[in-house]
Amino acid sequence: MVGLNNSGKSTIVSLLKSDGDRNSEIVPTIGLNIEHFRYQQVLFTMFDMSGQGKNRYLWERYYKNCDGIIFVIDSSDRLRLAVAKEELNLLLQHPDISGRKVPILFLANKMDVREALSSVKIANAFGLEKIKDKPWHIFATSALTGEGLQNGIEWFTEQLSQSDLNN
Amino acid sequence: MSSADRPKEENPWIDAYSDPKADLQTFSTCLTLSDLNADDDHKLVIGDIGNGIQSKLKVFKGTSLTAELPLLTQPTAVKCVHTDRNEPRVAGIIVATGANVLVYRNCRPYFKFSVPPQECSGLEVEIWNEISTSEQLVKVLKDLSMEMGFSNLSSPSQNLLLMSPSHREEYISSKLHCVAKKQMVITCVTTLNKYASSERDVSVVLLATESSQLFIMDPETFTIINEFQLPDVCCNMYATGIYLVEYTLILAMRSGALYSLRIKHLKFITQLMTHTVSLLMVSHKIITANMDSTMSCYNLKGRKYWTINLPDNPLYMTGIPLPNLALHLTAVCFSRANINLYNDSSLVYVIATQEPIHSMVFGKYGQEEHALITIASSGTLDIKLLKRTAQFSNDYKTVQKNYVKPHEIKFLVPKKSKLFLEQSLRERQKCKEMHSWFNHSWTNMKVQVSESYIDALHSANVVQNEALRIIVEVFGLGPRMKIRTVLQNMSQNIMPMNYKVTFIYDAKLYKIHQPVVKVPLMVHGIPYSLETLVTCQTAVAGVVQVVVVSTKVILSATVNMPDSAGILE
Repeated sequence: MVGLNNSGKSTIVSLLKSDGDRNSEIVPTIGLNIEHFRYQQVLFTMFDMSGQGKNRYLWERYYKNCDGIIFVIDSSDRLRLAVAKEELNLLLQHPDISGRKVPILFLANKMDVREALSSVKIANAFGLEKIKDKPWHIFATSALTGEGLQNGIEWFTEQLSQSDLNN
Repeated sequence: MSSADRPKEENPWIDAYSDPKADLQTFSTCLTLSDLNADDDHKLVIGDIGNGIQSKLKVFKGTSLTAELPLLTQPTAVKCVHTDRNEPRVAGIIVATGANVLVYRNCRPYFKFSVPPQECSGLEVEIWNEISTSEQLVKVLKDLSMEMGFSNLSSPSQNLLLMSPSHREEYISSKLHCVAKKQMVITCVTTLNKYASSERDVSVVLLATESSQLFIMDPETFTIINEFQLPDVCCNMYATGIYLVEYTLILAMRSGALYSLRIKHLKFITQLMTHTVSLLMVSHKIITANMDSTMSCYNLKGRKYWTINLPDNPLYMTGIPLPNLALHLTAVCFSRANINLYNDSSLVYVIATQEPIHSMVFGKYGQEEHALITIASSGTLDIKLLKRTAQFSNDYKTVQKNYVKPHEIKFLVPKKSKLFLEQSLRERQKCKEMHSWFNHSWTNMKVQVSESYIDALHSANVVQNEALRIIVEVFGLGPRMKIRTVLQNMSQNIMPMNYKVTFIYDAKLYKIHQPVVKVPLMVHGIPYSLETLVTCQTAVAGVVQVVVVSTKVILSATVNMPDSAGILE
């Protein structure tokens, strides 16, 4: 799971993990957090990466062994859409990713914020239609309420099990 | 991404946002970035001059304007400081305007601080107290202003003298009981951390005024905690360090002098050749952008490290600290267009812009660490974010100039000809003989030169004209005079023949009876005296040139003739 800092990655992870022991206070991740959880008989091992500029170089170390990528976008931060796009381009051009058919789930988070952009607008801004060699999907979510997250993770699980079957 | 498929000159900046309709008019001193609401989301604070009609204080969050406050007067500087150490750490906005410092917190007016006015001379107070009629008052004040200088008068006196006569009566009656004091005008403002170097710490505010003073204001109590009398009006300053620990303040005076202030010691650094536009300090080095399109670097003792020529007149300079790249760049914006980034004295990148950038600020904006915010001449707000992968190298090539490094210049060397090849072959084969021959002829030439030098010393043959001595004398006061030319041959070897003495003169002034005098053969050492008569024609003193000629002019002498005016009459 990657995305810029303050986009809501850790909040989404804590939401996915379980409803019971959800952390009330999410602090900015340093380095990365590794989380294990089960969703619909699929065991996830999730690397929740730090999104801070100085820690983003860590992302590419984990590209090699990952089966799927969740890219979280803060849809209310219009200023840094360009930065997120830059990071996505770096990710797609990375040799460990570019040749593989890795499913990418885009989560346009913070849809509850008033000035948030719609998922369609973000897909256009990012030029997602140009990604032809990988399955991808974008969902508008709200990590505070969990809205939209269910659909997103269902699609992601489906994609992962499909690619697992093909192998 | 491998390095091969990367474009060579990759743009290290992401153009995140550009708003051509922002219509902002401001100076770099009225532009600042700060975490105003203590939510880790840095805001942009702009003191907008607004076409000079309505000044406004504007606060931008992300890409949108969140607050707008009207300002009554035009701002000199806008800064953000923490005014206390309470949690949450809400920063205050400080607006310097005229003699006042306005403090805003949570985008609401919070405090108004005025720089204490200067007491004026007792004489002026007396004048104001004793004289009540406007005509008399103006007259006496005018005399006083001639005596002390207009700028040393108090503000009411200055206003009165500048006023149209019809308004004066009313002004005097309204101002009759107020004390004559001179209002300060703040020229520049900077901030300095008070306790610790953290950006969330309380900062003291340094205010320089038009009357050559420097005040240090503590925003915790809104009082002046220190003040200094400067030798001149400070128009630019830069502060580093911590006020209560150790600090360095660099002051650029209006006269072009640079001073440093370190723990209460004011010290002269250097006198610049031109005025500074902008001032920075990067790791104990002072960098100045100057009006003569140069950028110079000095140390604190005034030694100059370097000066580079800038492509254009600089408008402003700001530091771009990049600790993750171990760099501290300097960004300079120019009066025509473009922003150049320098690492020390070498150019590392040029940000091409369509129009001149009037103001810029670099720092944390929103969630982003490295944001460069620029406002162009047309009021366009432009936000650039530094890429995570950005690299700056000192061998940046300016594409526009086609700059070629000296060692890369290729000379037009002609192809080796057949003759050249033969010669070089011969040189290799017979190098010994050639060398001995060369040495032989070299010594030969040296001998010849020395011989002829000794010859020249012995026979010290004087040149012809130097061998003649000439003495010219004029006898008489006019109108008739006699010119005697005495010639003497100094050379033993030469016997000058066929020499003549003639005169160059104005025929209107003089008549020379024997214009050409033949010189007999001259024997060595004997003086020959040749005489001719002259008659003055008019009562003007003139000049006669005596020339000795053979086939060419050999010698000449100029004689100032005596004034014969009195005698002619």
